[in-house]
Amino acid sequence: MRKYNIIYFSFLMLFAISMCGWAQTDSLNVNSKIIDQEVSIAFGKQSFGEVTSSISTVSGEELEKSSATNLGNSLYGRLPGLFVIQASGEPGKDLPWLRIRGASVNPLIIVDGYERDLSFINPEEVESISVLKDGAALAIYGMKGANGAIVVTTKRGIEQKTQISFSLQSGVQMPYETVNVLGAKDYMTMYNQAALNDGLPAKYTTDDIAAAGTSPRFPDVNWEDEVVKKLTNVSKANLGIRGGSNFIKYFVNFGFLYNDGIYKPENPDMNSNANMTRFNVRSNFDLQVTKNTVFSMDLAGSFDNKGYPANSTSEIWNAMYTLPPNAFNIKNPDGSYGGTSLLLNNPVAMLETSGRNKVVDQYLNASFKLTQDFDFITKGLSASIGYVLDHSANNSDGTWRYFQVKQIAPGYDDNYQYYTYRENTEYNNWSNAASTRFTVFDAQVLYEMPTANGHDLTFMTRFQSDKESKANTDLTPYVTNSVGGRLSYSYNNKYLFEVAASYYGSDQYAEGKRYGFFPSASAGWVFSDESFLEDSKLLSYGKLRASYGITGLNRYASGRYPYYQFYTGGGSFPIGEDWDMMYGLKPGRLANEDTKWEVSEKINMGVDLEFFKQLSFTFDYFMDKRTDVLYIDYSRPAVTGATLPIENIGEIHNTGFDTKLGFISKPGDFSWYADFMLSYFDNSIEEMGESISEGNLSHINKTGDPYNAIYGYEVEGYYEAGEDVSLSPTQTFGSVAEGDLKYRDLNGDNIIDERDMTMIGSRLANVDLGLKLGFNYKNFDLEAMFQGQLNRDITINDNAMYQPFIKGNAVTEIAKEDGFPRLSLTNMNNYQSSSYWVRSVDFIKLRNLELGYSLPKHLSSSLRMDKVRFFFRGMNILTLSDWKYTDPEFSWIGYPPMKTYYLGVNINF
Amino acid sequence: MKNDMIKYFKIVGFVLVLATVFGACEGDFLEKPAGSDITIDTVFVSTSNAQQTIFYLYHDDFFGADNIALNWWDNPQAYASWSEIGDDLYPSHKGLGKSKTYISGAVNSSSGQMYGLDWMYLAVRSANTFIEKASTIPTVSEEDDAYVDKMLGEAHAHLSYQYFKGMKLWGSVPWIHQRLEGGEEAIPRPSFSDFVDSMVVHLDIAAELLPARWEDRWQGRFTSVAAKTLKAKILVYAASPLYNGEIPNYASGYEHPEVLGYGSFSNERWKRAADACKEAIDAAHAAGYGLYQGSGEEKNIYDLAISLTDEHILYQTFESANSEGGWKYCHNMMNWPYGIGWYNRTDVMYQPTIQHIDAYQLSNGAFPIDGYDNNDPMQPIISQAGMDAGYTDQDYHLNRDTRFYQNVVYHGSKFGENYNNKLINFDADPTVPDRTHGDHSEFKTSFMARKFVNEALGESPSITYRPVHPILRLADLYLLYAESLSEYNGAPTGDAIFYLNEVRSRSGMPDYDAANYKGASDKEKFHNAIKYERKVELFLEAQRYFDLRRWKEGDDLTTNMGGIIINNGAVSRIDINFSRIFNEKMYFHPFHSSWVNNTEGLYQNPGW
Repeated sequence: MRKYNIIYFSFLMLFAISMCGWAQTDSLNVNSKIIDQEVSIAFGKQSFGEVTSSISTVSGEELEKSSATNLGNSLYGRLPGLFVIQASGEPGKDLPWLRIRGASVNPLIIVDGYERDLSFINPEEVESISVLKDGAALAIYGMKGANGAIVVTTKRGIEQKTQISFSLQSGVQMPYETVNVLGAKDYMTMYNQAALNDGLPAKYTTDDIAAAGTSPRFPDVNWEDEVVKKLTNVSKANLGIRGGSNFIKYFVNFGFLYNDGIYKPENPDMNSNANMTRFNVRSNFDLQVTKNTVFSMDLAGSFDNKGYPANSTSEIWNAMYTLPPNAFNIKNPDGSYGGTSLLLNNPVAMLETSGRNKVVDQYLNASFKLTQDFDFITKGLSASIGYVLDHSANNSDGTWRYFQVKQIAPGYDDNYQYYTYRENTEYNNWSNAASTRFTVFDAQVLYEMPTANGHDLTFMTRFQSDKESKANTDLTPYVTNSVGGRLSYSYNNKYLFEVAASYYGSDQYAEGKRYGFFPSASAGWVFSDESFLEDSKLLSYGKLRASYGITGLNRYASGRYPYYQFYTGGGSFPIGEDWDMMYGLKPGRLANEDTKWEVSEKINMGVDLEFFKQLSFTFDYFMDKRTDVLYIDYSRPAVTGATLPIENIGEIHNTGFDTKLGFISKPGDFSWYADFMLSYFDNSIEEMGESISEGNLSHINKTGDPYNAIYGYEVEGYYEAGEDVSLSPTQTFGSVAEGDLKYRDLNGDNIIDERDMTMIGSRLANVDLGLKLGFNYKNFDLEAMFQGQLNRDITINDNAMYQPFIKGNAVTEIAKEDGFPRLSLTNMNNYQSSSYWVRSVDFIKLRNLELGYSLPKHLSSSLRMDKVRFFFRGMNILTLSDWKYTDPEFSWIGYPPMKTYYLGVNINF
Repeated sequence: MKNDMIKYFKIVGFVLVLATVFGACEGDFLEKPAGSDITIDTVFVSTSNAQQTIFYLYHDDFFGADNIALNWWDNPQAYASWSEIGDDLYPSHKGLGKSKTYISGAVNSSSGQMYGLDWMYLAVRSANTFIEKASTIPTVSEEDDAYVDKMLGEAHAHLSYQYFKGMKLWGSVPWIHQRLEGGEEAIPRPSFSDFVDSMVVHLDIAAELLPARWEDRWQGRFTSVAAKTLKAKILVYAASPLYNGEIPNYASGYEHPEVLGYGSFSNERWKRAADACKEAIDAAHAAGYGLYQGSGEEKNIYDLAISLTDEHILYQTFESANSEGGWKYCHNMMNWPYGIGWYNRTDVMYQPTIQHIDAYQLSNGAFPIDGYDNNDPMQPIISQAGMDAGYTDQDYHLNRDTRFYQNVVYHGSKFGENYNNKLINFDADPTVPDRTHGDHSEFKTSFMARKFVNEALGESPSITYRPVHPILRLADLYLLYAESLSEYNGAPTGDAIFYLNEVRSRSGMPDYDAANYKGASDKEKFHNAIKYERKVELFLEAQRYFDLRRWKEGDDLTTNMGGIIINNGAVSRIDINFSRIFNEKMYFHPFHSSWVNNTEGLYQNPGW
């Protein structure tokens, strides 16, 4: 409980201070000119005009238009270069994948200067989010910067009278798409066809089929209808308090979130539905301790209480979509749960009787910073030291039991006899606790030379040491150390130069090989300020930028300390008279003393333009060359007999561009705006330690393909009747007949086997689009946000819900589509990974739609409020895609993403 | 200007002070904290750590697993048992294991391998590492010294054990006798002859160093008897037709014939094998090993499959199991008739085919089935002896070899002792009461495996047993000896017949009678007797696949499998539409193409 005491204490302090009521001043004027907008960079801020690197930014105000329960989900289509890929819609498990410019893993996430979790921050707390993309922006993150960085800055106090903003919203959620699986009649008819195709007698008579759904002997269950509710609830509330004086500045925020799950069956003993409740608080305050000294204390805490059914999400949804509709009843006439010897997984029973899991995640982020002005040494010099203690605790427990199922024995009347499978057991309990602690110590010196004759110079240097300890999974902490600096120089704000570098070390590597140097340089030219363009009406702003930099990636790809060869536990067997267990020791991976970080060399060229002070355009072209990528060298001899080390041998290239076009109309009763963004990259693995095949096998090589490629057989067509089967190359996945998929014999050996596989698609969307349109008319405002991704494929061959009878039931539209290969009960020939199963899931979604109405000023002020605004907001409400059977971003089996409608109110005091 | 300089120095000075302060802690900051980790440098500093690297070699990943029918799922290598391929079984989970491509004949040089070369060399490396480091292990007493020597013997024995596994699959494989770093010069496949001799050398060393029996607490480790038996078995394999003679026709023109076999026949190899067998048998007898006779003629084989006996020379053990099983012992419950005992599972894993059933002798030693109709492989030809004994398909189970009853669960048989005398009822008609048939759609042959299934487990979840699977047992050695004697002498000698009869009489079967076996000569008849004996005696012990290959009789493996169906008690034969296909080139399995590509000197076998 100690960490909570810290929170309580800080709040007490904070309130005590704010109650005293220090002098209050008017709010600051905000200059709308874009070049003065502040942009968060690594360990600092720059005005837009000063930036020479590639950074995109979005303000917290804009993020509030998305009511995402996870901050990551508010970033769709807003930040060029950032690809956000939706995950499940399950409460508390909806963190999306974030990828910058073709990187294969999540970027570095920085919250208020330090590596932290994004998930429990409310949009209302956010001042801005920046995406750092190029070498110049990232150099100072050294060994952690290669995949880009997302820099979140939370709001801080400002010198103004206390402002209170309150928002409340409540909404309904529903699955975006319901999945249609075959009903009993269709299932049985097609099953018979499949059996006939296999040379087996039909299983169901026409009477059986006609009787489907008419009595418990002939069940016809739509499990989704039984398990999934039409609607569920999600509610959010947020209270922010912001203000300050020349002595203290504060921002305090309280958030609340409740998200209920979508399951319909209820367990009478406990809540087995998925659900999440979150309370979070943040208090950032800056205290002017002396004239030259500021003490900042930022505390943020979150308490997530999540619940889930005892059976895993995939078990439940698998059962829903793959249980044959005629297999058994939800409940039998005697009230018992239906099931068979092989199908014990009645999903209604799972939810009603199995039990539940509970997960409690607690986070506390605390940072303390002391900033001292050294103007007395020289004007513009200051220094700060900081200390961070972040703690997260994850406690989970569960209660579960087996349940009995019964199958109606064959017979002909209402006198039901049963086969019984498995017995009900008592509830069992389990619990688990994990925690991590992250500490940072840092120190920084900043020198902002006063402008003289147009020369501007800023110099920053810092030291930082990070240490992360994971309490019960890994006893050895993860430690990194860095020293870095940045020197910016500009002349007349027209010619801009910047160099930044860091010297970064990690405990992952052998002595003497722990530190790397990561330099960068960049330059900018504000050509619109040149005399020949100064008076241009058309071009109000224009800048060219270029940067080059080296960053690294400190990957823990082969576990900790790969420069040692460890021995680990290796199996056990009983021995001797007493059957005592003996434990083996197994040699681990061969040591690789030369292991180092992966290196990313980034080049970026960009242009920022503004026309008529209304239309803005930004374009960035980039090249990212990854070398020393960690791969296993599979070209080593097989007789070595060792687990091969992971070595810095790979090379991956990414090139592409990202661009944004924005328009803002002139202010007036009616004003409108539009933003369009587009990101593109091209990814290829140049070297991955593959043992390269040559000649007629060269098509199987993966080197040269993008990293997320789909491999399989190319479908040539279908087998035809007659001699086609005997004349064609032999397929090795089961006997084939007319109507089966026929694969192309790429190596020409007349046999279709693993050696004919090649790349048939790519899971990696490489185009991301965003379009935001909005207008204000008097007191009304409307905004629509579209987002899409292109060139994204999925393969569904190994997905149970698209394999009729092989794994049970299947999605109707797929099983009945034209050209679906010959049905079979067991033959896997058609379910090999092949081009037939590769489907394009390009999509465009209406992510957000918001309609707001603000009370006229006189009304709100009569309520003694600054602003009262009501809004209606829809999220994920419309999708355009060729893939219509599930959400195109979520084609597998699991808790699908949700569509949500909110009604809410914002009130500012 | 001067001011600027001062300013500059002030700043630089400030930074330097800070840098010194923080730089000072840089030294040890990123050092790995001391812990209890074990590395290659610390593992051989005590006998107790060092012995664990030997224990690792008994891990079922390397030691038994691919021999063992107990094990089919969740195995890290996802391989199935060689029994699944060689014994006449319908493996209902055929889609899951790597065995499927071996059964369908679709194996090629890029398909997943049942036992990979990489796994074999992992074990080889561990054995070599021990041999390299043994002399560096500090010892504190003479006893300790002796223990290190014994472990050194184990390491030598394991080395040959692994190479023998390799030989059975591929012929000779590169002989690695040291810890490699990966950058060494190519080590080519040696000649078959050298390869066999090297295994023998290491087993001779092992036999010198190892005790004939370990003290009770170490029972289960390699002994000198096991090393001698393994040597005998290797030499019997080496003397067998696949290796002892011309290379198979399909391989003619192969560039490296020396890796496949001797290239010409020498009868002296059978002599060498027979002598090694005799030496092993004598050593086994002297150490107290003997055929298990403790449960009576009708139970001996069944009981020895579920318990440790004096017949077990080398075996894989598993953690004690009950009916809920550990994941390794699922053979028991996956082959459990529905409705017997407390555990109502309906899985059916290994189902003996009707071809397997047909092979059993009658209790008088004659064969009831003589083969199958050329036009209808499901139609048996009943032999004269079968007719004399009144054999009909309806009563196929009457008067058979006792091992039929011990190996197979069939309709009408009894299962276990304490299930109220409930009989197995595999009737296909769902209206028949009290069926012990789970209506599993993959239940095809109407037979289940009984061997290795502990029938007592269904009585309650609290009943446990200690699963043990033989790798080398005395009956196997007897049969190898009898075979070698007959082959060497051109006809069975008295000793050959004696050892065959020892195995038969233990199960209540009459003595060898040449008249019951086909063959143009006494040697051929005796060979067929050995072939029969190994099939039924060593059922589910992963022997038959390798026996048929070493005899160059792989064609026997190509089979259209059938079963029976019982409809209201009436038995009829059915085709289960499942075939096993053996291609000639399966005599020497393919190396995975990625191993061949990377490993100079690892010549691919012919035909792949």
